[in-house]
Amino acid sequence: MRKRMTFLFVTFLVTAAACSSSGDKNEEGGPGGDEPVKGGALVVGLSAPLPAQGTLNPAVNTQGGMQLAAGHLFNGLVEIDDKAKPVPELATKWDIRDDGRTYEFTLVEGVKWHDGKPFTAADVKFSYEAALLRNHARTQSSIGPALAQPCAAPPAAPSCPSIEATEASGGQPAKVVFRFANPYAPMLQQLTHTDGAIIPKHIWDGKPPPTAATPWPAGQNPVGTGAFRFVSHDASEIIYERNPDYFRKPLPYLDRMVQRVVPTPAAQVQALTAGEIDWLGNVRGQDLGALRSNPNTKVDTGSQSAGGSTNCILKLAFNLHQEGVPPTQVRQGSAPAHPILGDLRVRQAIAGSLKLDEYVEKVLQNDGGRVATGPVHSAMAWAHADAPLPRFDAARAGQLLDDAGWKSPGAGQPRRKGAQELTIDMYHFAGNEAALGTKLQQDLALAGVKVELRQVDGAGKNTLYSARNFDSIIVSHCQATDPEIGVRRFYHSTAITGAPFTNGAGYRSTEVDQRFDQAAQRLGESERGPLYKQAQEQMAKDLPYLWLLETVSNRAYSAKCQGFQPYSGHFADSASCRR
Amino acid sequence: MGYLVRRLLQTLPTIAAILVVTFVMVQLAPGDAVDALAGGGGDEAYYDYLRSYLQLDRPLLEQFFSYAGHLLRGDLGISFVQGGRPVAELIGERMPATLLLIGTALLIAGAGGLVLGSLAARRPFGPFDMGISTTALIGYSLPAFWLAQLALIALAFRAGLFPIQGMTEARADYSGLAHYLDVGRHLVLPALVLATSDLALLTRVTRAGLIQELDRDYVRTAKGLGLREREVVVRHALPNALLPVVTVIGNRVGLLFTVTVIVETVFGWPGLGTLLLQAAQTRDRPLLLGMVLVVAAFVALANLVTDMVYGWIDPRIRYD
Repeated sequence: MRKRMTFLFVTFLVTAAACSSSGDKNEEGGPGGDEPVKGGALVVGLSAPLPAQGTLNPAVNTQGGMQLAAGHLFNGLVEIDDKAKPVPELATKWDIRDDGRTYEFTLVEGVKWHDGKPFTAADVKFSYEAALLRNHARTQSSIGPALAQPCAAPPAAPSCPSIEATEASGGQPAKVVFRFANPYAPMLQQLTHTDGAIIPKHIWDGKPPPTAATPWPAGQNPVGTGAFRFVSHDASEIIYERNPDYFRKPLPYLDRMVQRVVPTPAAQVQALTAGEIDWLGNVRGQDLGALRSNPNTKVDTGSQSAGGSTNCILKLAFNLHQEGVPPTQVRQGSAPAHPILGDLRVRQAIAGSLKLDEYVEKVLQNDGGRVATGPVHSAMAWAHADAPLPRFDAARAGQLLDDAGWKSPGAGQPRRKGAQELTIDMYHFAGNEAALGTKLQQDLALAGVKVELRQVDGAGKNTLYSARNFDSIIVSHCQATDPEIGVRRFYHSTAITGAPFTNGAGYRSTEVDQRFDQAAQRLGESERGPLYKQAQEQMAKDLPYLWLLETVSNRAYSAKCQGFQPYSGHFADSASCRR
Repeated sequence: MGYLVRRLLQTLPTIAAILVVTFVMVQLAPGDAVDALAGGGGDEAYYDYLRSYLQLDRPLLEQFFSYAGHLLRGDLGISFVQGGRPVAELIGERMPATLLLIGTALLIAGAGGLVLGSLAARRPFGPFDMGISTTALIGYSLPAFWLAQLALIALAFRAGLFPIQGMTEARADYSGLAHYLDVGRHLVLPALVLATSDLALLTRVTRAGLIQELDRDYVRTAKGLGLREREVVVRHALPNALLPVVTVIGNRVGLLFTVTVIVETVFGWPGLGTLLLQAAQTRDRPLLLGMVLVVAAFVALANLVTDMVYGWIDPRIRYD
């Protein structure tokens, strides 16, 4: 009863919010041929709810909407370019020593915070020990445990003995050193403003450090080093102005930026076409044709969303163990297998029943995404393996189900094993995930597997995932630019935790654990790549998940504007508009 | 006065019951504010830490009484998800936009309904009445979410008669009269959409009431005395036909708050509607409860005002 009530409420919420689509969308764009025009305003259309006043602190929160709004205000030590290579930002250069156990960053000189105070090495240390390594879900769970000595956990006062800050003196620039227990290869991929935003220490002097719930002291406007300064925030928009002291001269070109919420996807496209807004971060496949053929609008496609999520794969997670068994029990290996999905033959049959050729058109509406060919995103070519995934083969799928004891009572009916019917539930978000769920349901019905689709919202999905209360669940898995950051946590047996978006399948493979552990101890891509490839081959045999679609992010903008960096959350830094 | 106080006291248990139900509903929904706040990929200790920071790890009853205690002291609490801002401040920021939208819609529906209903009632089943009545029936049947999208596409996007989104022009920074004109321009379409169903209903109620009144003896007497028709309708029949109209308006205020969630979402109107959705999706319990409380109070107030207006329109009704 409780479950049903809960479900009804969730359904209500989701139906009411059906307009807030999920999925990530972005191609090259780059600066156009014309000289950038200085001045003018850019109106950005936000699809997520407007982040509240006081939440704009990307060091303590990973919500996409907030990241998109706050990215312009902050910098990381390093930014990632369009080829996923680290480029200087607040750090001018870096020195990697001790086989990757020590990273030394040299900081830019003469940078000022938006309130005029000078930027120092102490700010960097503070950002990590008081904010990023305590409150930033991704950074605290990746860099945190890898440091040579652990940081103090809250509620203790912030302290990270493995991070050393040296201020500029005697003509020497300021430096910050990170020390790791083992070689730590992905460090340079995790220092952008989305995963490593540097925040001003002086704001919190004598005050409790920031948290996701209180990102800034009461009444404090955001202060960063970014290309734009915060001006105001109200119920409908956030206004930014040019930071005249920005350290990357002559950027930015724009005088003003307005970020405003346009809640429904249909209205977003209409507002862009009519010129009410200039930039849109998340365009659906069905709107691309009209926007591309319109001379007043342009479209960029890329693998990073404006909120900072990169290299995303839509996949189906199978619960390999009995529903609702606590993660600790699964991790220890004492959880009973899932009565249906615990059988490899059933998972293979499901994989072999999908007409994946149709998915790009029917699910993604040809938005630029493609069928996934392995667990690691193909953009990380050095680590990606075209794993031998089962191809569509209805006869073989039927045979596998027969072998597993699931017999067909007749065409078009769910298979049965004694009194039990072959039915699984499948949780998903609205948008792309809902379309994917429907297609999976159709394909699997033909194989005699009945799928009960259940749409949920973010908080609901996180909880179902952590509590392992699902048979199957669709997840958009964004892997960032290194498998150690974004892939490991879905497959390593130690990542079977109660936290959302970790190893929710409950997958345990000694072979895979070893490959990830070995790769984590090495530095070069040529050494690490083969290990990840071996791990993927094992995963493709075990099928704890189905890797279905590599999604992209489509950004549309007014043809009057140019110079967007489609691979970066700092997309407006080099933008300019001709009016 | 005694009546007023008694009525206000009567609404308190209702509002308390609504709060308890909402509290339980939020609790029943899977997930809590931490799931929305923290995002994915962290470790368990981090989620536990945030949960204890927001005191979500306390026993449920304790959480409820803590909330109720603050409420009794007039404190709506602090939002879980919106950067630790006071709920009262967040609601206060959005309230004017919603009230402007709902107020304008009520004005359009009330005034328009009276005028159109009166015109239709003059010649029942004549061509004018048939036209108005049929249009009203259609208008009443149109779902707001559909009408809103249609109006957006046809009148704003294709015809370019109105702006597409928001309450103000994003590129401009108007002040004074120019600002009011700008808001007015943005207000027209959402207010019309929000008013449509009520306009239709009030037209029909006014028409029906008036037709009934116009058939009564006092109207015939008034006509017999040589009063002009307009005077008979406006001065004598209409006030008597108003009672059901006022009832309908009073009862529709609650519904308007519901429909405005949809209208605000389609038109990007920065009112309570989008905040309510956000609060529900992020399980921001203090914010959600705060908004439910404010809306419930408004509905209770609307009912009270309706009763007061009865007494003013119809001298036979006396409260004591």
